[in-house]
This record gives sequence, C-alpha cells and structure tokens, in this order.
Amino acid sequence: MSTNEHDRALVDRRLFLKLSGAAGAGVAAGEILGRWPLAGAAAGSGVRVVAVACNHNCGGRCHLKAHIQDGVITRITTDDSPDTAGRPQLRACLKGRALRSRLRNPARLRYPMKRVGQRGEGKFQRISWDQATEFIAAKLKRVVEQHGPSSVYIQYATGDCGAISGHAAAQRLMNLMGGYLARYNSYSSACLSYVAPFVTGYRDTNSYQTLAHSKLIILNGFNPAETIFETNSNYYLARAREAGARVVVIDPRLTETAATFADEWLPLRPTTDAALFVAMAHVLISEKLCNREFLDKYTIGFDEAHMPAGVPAGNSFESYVLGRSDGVEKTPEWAAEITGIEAHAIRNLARAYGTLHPAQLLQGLGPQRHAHGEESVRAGIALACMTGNLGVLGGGWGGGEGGRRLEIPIGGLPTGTNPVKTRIPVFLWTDAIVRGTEMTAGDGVENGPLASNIKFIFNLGSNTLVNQHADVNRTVRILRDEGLVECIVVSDHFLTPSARFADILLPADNSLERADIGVPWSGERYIVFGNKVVEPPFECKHDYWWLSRVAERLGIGEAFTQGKTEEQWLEQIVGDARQRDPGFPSYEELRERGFYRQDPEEYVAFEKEIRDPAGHPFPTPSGKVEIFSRTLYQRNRADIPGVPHYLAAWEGPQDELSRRYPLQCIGPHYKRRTHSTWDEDAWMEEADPQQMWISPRDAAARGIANGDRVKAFNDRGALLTRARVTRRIRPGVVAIPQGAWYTPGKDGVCRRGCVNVLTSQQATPLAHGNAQHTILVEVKKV
Amino acid sequence: MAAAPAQIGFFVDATRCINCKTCEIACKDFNDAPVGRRIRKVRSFEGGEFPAVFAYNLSMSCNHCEQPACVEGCPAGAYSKRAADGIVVHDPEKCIGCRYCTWLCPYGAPQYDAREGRVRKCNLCAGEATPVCVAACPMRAIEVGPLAEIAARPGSTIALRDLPSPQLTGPSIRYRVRKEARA
Amino acid sequence: MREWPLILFTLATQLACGLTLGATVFETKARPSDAVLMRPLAMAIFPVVAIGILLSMAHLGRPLMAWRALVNLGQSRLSLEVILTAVFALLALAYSGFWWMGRTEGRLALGAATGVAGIAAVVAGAALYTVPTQPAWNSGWVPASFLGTAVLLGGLAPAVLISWRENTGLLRIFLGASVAGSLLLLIAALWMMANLSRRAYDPFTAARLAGLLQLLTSRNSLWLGCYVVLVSVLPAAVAVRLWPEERVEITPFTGALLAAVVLGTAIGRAMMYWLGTGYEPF
Repeated sequence: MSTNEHDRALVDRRLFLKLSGAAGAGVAAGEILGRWPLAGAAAGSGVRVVAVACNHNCGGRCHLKAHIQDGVITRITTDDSPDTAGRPQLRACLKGRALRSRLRNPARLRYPMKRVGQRGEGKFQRISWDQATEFIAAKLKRVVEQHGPSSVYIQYATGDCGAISGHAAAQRLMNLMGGYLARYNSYSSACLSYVAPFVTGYRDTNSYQTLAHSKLIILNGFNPAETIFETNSNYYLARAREAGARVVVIDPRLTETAATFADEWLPLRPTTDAALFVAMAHVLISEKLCNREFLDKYTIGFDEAHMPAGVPAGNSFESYVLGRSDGVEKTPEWAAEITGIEAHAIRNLARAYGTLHPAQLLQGLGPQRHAHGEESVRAGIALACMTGNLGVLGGGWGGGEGGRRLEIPIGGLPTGTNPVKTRIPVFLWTDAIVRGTEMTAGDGVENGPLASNIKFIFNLGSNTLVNQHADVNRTVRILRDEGLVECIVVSDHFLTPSARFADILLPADNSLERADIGVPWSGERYIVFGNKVVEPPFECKHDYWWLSRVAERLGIGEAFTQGKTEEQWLEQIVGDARQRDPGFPSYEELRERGFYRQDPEEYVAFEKEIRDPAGHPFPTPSGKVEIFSRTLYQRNRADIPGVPHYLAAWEGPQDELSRRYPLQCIGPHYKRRTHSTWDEDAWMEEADPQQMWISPRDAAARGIANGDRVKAFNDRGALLTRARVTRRIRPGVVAIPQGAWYTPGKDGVCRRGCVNVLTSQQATPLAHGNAQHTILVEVKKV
Repeated sequence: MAAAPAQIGFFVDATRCINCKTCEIACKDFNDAPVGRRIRKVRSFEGGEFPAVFAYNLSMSCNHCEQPACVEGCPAGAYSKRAADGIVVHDPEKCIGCRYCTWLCPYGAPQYDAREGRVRKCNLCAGEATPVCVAACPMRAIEVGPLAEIAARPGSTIALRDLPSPQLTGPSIRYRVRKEARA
Repeated sequence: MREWPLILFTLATQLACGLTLGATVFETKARPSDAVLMRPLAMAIFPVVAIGILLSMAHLGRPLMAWRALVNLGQSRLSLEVILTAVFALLALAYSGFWWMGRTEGRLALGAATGVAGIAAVVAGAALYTVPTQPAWNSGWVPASFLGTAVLLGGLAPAVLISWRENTGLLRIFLGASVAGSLLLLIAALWMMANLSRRAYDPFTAARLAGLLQLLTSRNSLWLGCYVVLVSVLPAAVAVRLWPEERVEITPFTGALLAAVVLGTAIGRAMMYWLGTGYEPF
C-alpha cells in the first residue's frame, strides 16, 4: 500500500535568498567568485586537472579534482583510480561534488570588519587588515595582562579541518603567550570517548572491511548513509549484506541506512538505548546464551563471582539486570514500556545476538549524545562481551567514528605545549564565561580552579559560538554582555550566526584557495592533499597569515612562524611523515597525486588483548574489560553507577515535563550539510531542504499536513520550520536536522529551524558531555 | 521508430541506493545546472504502516526511450535519437523553449532553464568515457550498458508502482528494487 | 498562472473561430442591408488571432526563434498546429479585410473556408493535449472544451455586442449557440472528472489522477465552481433574459457580462493547464 510522497522543495525562497544574499557591510552585487585566475596561469592553456580537498568536519575526506580552464574551475570530479574490491575508489559525496557552488556563493565575506552597534546585531564596518591585527594584538595583550592567559578560549572549531587550521594556529600563538584555557571532549563523542577508557582502557573500533565477516550487524543510532563516517562505509555495509549478514537498526527514525540496509528496524524512544541493552542482557542470562568463558577470561564485574575485592555483594551487572539489587527485573517487558519496542522483538534480537556469531554492534554517536549517554556506551560494551564479540574477526563493538589505530601517522601545524594545564569540558564554555572561577572538579574542571573567567574568544572557522552550542537563547544573552567576554574574534567564509557576534570579523580563504592536507576521521589508511587552484577573492586571507601579523605585533613573530609560510609548514609536516613512513610520498608527489593511500586492512580492535591477554592486558586497573568499574563506583553517585544502568533521562519520555511538551525532539545530522557548513548553499537546499520529520499520527493530532509551516517550542526557545509528515519516524518523536543557521525574527523565533534554540546546556554527569538530543518540545501549525 | 540495434540503457540498483543525492549534484556540476534544473533526480518513496515501514529511492535522469515522445513532439526538431546506440540527444541550439517536451515526457527528463530560455536534458554525458552519475555514485548503484543485457539480468524490472507504464515510451532503464516497489 | 500566454492564445483562436462561424451564419440568414451589424465583430477576427499568436510567442523561451516551430512538420503535432493556425490567420486577414472593405462578393465562401480553417486550428490545438503521456488530458473532453469555447464565445459575443432591432431570429440563433456551447463545456467538465476517475490506467497513473481529482474537488473546488457558474449559468441567464426581446441595446452591462464569461473560460483553461503541468512527473 505504497503512496507517492513528492519530495517537493520545501524551500522558503524568501528566507533562503535573504540568507544567501546577506553579505555584510559594503558589498557590491553581481561579482562572480571562483573565477580568479591563479597568478601566473596562462589564458587558453587547456584543461589542467588538479587535486583539491574539502576540509570541513566530515568523516570522509574524499579525493577530489578540479578541472581548470583559463583560470576557471569548470567542473569537479572524484577519484578515478581503478575501482577494485580490495581498494575501492574514494568517491566524494554530494557536498564535495558541489564545491563549485559553494565557491561562487556571492555572500562570501570580503573584508576585515569591526563591529558597530551592539554585539550580535551583525552590523560591521570595513577596516584594513592592519587595523584588524593591531586591534587584536592590543586587545589580546591587555586581556592576558589583566586576566591571565587562561582567560583566552579558542573555540571548538571544525569548519576547517586542514593541517594548518585557524584554531591550530591560534593555539600555537597562545602557547607562545603563556597558554590558553584548554578543553577536553568534543561535541561529537563526549560520552563515548570519556567513558570507553573506563571500560576497555582505550577507545577503538574495527575497520569496515571486517563487516563482511559478520553474521549479524546491529547498528544503534548509527547512520553512515547520512553522516559520512568514512568514504566507503556504506559500500562495505552493502557488501556485508550481500555476503549474508543480517542487519538490525535501532533508531527512532527509519534513516537512509535503515531503509537501505536493515532487515529489521527497532524504532526506540530516544534516550532509552541502555534499557534495551540491559533487557537484552536479561534474555542472554535467562536463556543461558552468555559466553561465560569469555566473560571469565576477559572481564570483571559481570557476576558476583567476578567482582573485585572489597565491593559489597549485589553490585555486579548480573545482579542489576536480574533485579537483585533494586528489586526491578530488567525483563524485555520492563524495557518494552520504556523503549516503545515490543518485548518479543527485544527477545528476538537478544537471541540473535546470542547465537549468530560473529556479530558486530556499532553504536553511532547519536545515542551517546543524550542524557546519561555514558550508560548506553557501557551497556553496549557489556553486551558485546556477554556474547564474546570483542576482538574477533567479524565480531566487535565500536563507536562508529574514529578511534581506529590505522591512521597514517601525520601531524599538523605544531602548536607547542600549553603551559596552562586547566581544562574544561568543551560543552561548558558558556559556564566558564559566567562563573569560570567558581567551577570545580564536579563540573568536570581538570587541574582547576580556573584562574579567570573566559574574557577573550577566538572563533575561527567555527559556528559553535552560537549555532552549534546548546540553548542558543541563553548563549546569546551571555555573549551580548560585553562585561563578560570582552573580545570575540571570528574568521569565516560567511556571515554565520556566530559571525554576527564578532567584535572583529575576518574573511577567511577556503579549501580551494589554499594548499592543505586533509586527514579523515576514522583512521582509514589515507590522507588527501588539496592544492590551491584559485586566488582568494577580495581580501580573504588564511588565518595563519593574519595570526602571524598579530604575533609580529606582539613581538613573537619569529617564534610563531619560524620564518615559514603555510606551504613550508606543509612541507615540514610531509617531511616528518616521511621519516616515520618511508613509503610516504614527497611533497611534490603528494601535491601531484592528491592523496596517499595504503591498502585497506581488516583491522580488528582489541585483537591483541583477546588473543594474548597475559601479554596484552587491557589498560584498565584490573587489566580486563571493566563491566564493573571500581573507579566509577567509588564516585558514590547514583547517576554514575559501578555497572551499566538504565537511568531515566531528564527531559526524557518519563519526565514530568512531557505533560507539557509531549514530543521528544532529536537533531540528526543531515546529508546536505556537515554540521552547519553548507547551510548557505543553494544546491544543497534544493537537494534536501531544511524540514522537520513528524509522524502521521502526531501530525494529524495537530492538524498538520505535509509541507505545512510549523512551530516547535519549549521553555528555552522556539523555531519555525516545515513539516515532513512521514511514517519513517516513531510517533512521539520529531526530528529537526541540526546545523541550520539560527535566524531569529524580531520575536526571537528562529525562522530557519536551528534546533539548538530548543536544546539544553545541562551536561551529562560523568563525561560532562552534551546531551543535545535530549529535548522535549511541542509542535503546532502556524 | 525502429529500435537502435545496440540500445544503451541505465541499470539502477535501487536496493543499494541510500538517497545520498551525489548523482544529482555531480550531474548538476557537470552540466552547470542552476537551482531549479535537476537533470538527474533522486526521489524517495515510503509505504507500510508503523512500525513495518519501508522506503526506497529511485534515481533517474533521461531514459533514452525506444519511442521517445520528445523526438516526435518537438516542433523545432531539437531532439534526435542516435541510430547506433539509441541515445536521445537534445540540441540546445535548436531549442526554442516552447516546453512542449516537458509536457510530453512521462518522466520529467527535459528541464527548462528560464535563464537561457531553453531546455536541457541528460545526454548520457556524450563525450565522456563514463557518464558522470555512474562514476560518482558512492554505492556503485548506477550502470550504463546495452539494454538487452541489462533487461536480461535477474531481478531487473521497469514495472514499478511509482513510474508510469513503460508501454508509453519504452524507457531504456531497468531497476532492481525491493518487492514493495514493484507494480 | 504560468501559462497565461497559452491561455490567452487558445481563447483568442477559439473566439476568432467562433466569430468566423458566427459571421458566416449571420451572412446566410441576414438581409444584406443588415450585414453591417456584424461588421465590427467580423473585422475583429483577424486582430484577435494575430494578437493571440503574438501572445503565444511570449510563452517561448526564445521567441525570436519561433520560426523553428515549423521544422518538424512531418512528425510534431505542435508544428501542425502552428501551420494550421497560420493558415487560419491568413484567411482571417482576408476575411476581416473583406468585411472592412465592405466587399461582399465571394465573402460567404471565404467565410466558410476561414471557418473550416478555424475549426482545423482549434482541433489541432486540442490534439496537442490528447497524448498518451498526459492521461489527465488524453480524453475527448479537451477537444470538447475547445470547441465548446469557440461555440459559446462565437454565439455570445454577437448576441450581446450587437444592437438588435430586427433579425431577432438571428439573435436567437446566437443565443442558442451560446447555450449549446455552455452545454458542451459542462459535458466536457464532467467528462474531465470522469477521466480522472478511470480505473483502466496503470496504478501510478490512476493514483496521480485520483490525487488531482481530490484536489480539484477540495482545494480548487471554488475555482471549479466559478468556472461552471460563469460559463453556463451566466450565458443561460442571458439567453433566458434576451430570448423574448424584440429589441436589445448594447450597454456596458452586456459588455461586462461577456467579459465575465470570457474570464470564466480563462479560469477553465487555467485549470486545464494545471491538471497537466502543475506537478513534476518524477
């Protein structure tokens, strides 16, 4: 009973044109970008094909080529080396293919600018680079003198992920000035990267090539079809399926991954993944499907017999699951109530996981970006151990992104050592502005206390300042207060929501306008090189260039640059890489080729520890996988249990608040953007306009039809967007893709659908990570 | 219209298609197509009742039909079907922008460009060794080859719920789809 | 409405065709001394066609290349329609010229020939739409609608734009023709909806047509209602009102009535274009 759903372009054309036309002060219309001949390029010289890179926060980092004729890029192509099963091409995605569209966007920032009016109004006047660097140097010097170096914060930035990125250059500068307030965690994987070491000692994942050996693949909130984790991840998933693997997807949405690859879709309620896993553990235990030998040999804390000394009885995982400690047996029926997944489906999945060998559990970063996200990670690892699926070919547990040990060892711009040892969790920077000196270890401060609140922010190639951080309305209130943060320096390509809050706004060059190296997330065995193929337009400059000028004014120019240009740094980086790996090409070869690649490998995470536990113990206190962690247990907190628990989320489906705001809202990644990069692009908007997914049941109850304009709101803020009424999301949940640019009207309501007006700054208890998918909202038609 | 002896056609494995739109954008880049002109389009379809929901995606440009309505209907003779391989070629120089072809094509292949006042269409990347969509697809889901061979592959079909009857124009394309997508 | 040039062009051709037939009928029935009553409308025939043709060129992306529309005469229905319309226009030039110059010799035969050419142009125009790949249009309702428009306008315009003092028999012929045209349009509308409900199509087409019917009868029902009222109720009211009259004077009101009916036909034509082009096929 299928019906046609027209994928109409739900573009609010006026808004879109406004976004793409907004170009800051002093801009003339009609100038064409991307058509600036390289100095020295001869006219009519035929077509040159040159390797380029797109270096924003994508897991792919694919091989791209610009075709250049008469100094103009006429098209973009991708890897065309032989496409073989052993070495598939590194084909770019829709974003990489649209580089020309991005390059010629007329809304490009053109000149250095200084704020006039209130911070956040977005009103600027043009200044010269000299004036800009003078201002920054003077301000920086004064702030550091007055408040100390730890008052300077270099914002989490992934808009430029090249080796010589702006934020790396800023770190280098500050390390020569006494340091800066450091941070740990990421917005991507805070809970996962923080908690996995408590369990397995370090974080690691199998390579995708091993999927072909799996009989069962469970994808928990893992959506490589829309969030590129690695260029060929979907291709390997398809091949695994063709080899006979059964794929089960656990996700509130029937994502593209689920629609294409899943044999079964378990549409669970957001925040309840740990409950599902705990109930699966119950089935494995009660139906005697546990691999007790594996648990005995490689783990501690699973049952009472394997607890460390001195811990009172009843604290093992098995005791928790069977309800011996709290009187609640974590049966599939118990989990069905919580997760919204039928008990028999939970049972079947557990049985499959217990019997189909080997099996891989891949947990994406969505489930851990939730309240108590730590627990779903710990529970996942526990399950993997219960079924003996760790460190074996085709079996494993992984967090999807990163952490694989296969990287080609290559560095970036050396930043030096930070004399300031104080670190805050990256998610709490707004707290560090308001009450930095009062923050404690309980807030996640390491080597504290902070000597100062944050007074100066470098936001270079980042939209974290406003758009990507949670609770936009709270953030902008904090930033507007010039008594708190005294200076914000922003560099970017466009007038992003963060750029509007700059005191000094600088136009940056993009990846086609400079040479740089790109390194993929996942430690896949390649790196790419992006050549400079067009001149940066107007007065756009590389961050390293103006930071060098700032350094000069501060009397540390020589130490900062060591007399090197960016290109010379790249040559040094390549030279260092060659020393570590003789197979690494020379700089010239790398530029010509555009990438360096070693053959993909079937890498099995924790293989050594499983094969030879005596010779390679897990780097944990016990030397084994710590299903029970004494370190965590000794924190003596109900929300940091010794073994994995399901903990009901604040603002989750069991929260009182759901009476007022009955819909859970998640902010998935969107294939036409990389976070907030590409939101400004017209081709991307045509491919997939910003829209909110809502189930037919929830839509009907609110009189909402497909394509209707709707308002999503809670106590923190409100946004307007278009509804996509679809069966592909579970009732009770809406999904608003993250990364849309915050575009408030006079009433403060975001017109574009920036989900972060709805998200909360409450951090997770252990990792102090961002629980940005844990939101309750209501939606109504406007 | 006599069938070309070695009619070329598309094979699209929709069971692999992840709706990434890379083929759409790669085609746009190659053809310098502005917003509003999608020479290749991917459309997604869904069905079933929660939680037994399914979805799939169909990527399509021009089907280089065996009885192309555009060739017959264009008053300005801007369309022709190549004798050797059956590719339906649109010559933008001859196009007067009457848009009649956009009414005639059951698949919406001709795309009118208001800036230029004429239509553009997939020409199977004539002049390229490999069509751009084929080379671009990260799932390797699109192929181009002799239609006779493609049509003979097990599981390949053109009778889909979400497409008009193939009897109309004899499209030179076959899909592999999940069973719910079949007509 | 994006297709406004074609809406106006098709209405113009149909109006001109109807007027030609009307003028010819007038000539057969009226006393020669009364022929002058028809003169202004008959003179208008060529300008109406000519303006229509010029407007149709506004629908082209490259109007200066309009001559290329004749290239595919052997195959393309559109080329055929263009040439037949051109023939009609040339004959209409002569015919309107005859009326202008007051030349009566051979005028009846010329009128018949022009009328036949007009019908051929209108039918060729309808044939553009009755193609298998446009199932919403691929039905007799389109030619019925085109011809019905010609007959309605060709009957109503003379009925309300001529001051009738005698020849009321002729008035009644025109009133009758306008009512007949209305009836044909009503039949066409019903036929159109029946076509949208046909089950014989493949599931995709049937679903698409059912969707269109649903929109037509919900969101667009107001337009449909306006159309029906303007092209049937109004002419019927005019006919009823004027039928018993021995004398009818033109007034601005009668002109406004005609304008309202023309607006109605335009609404109908706009809906026709919407049925076939208001969505992306894929």
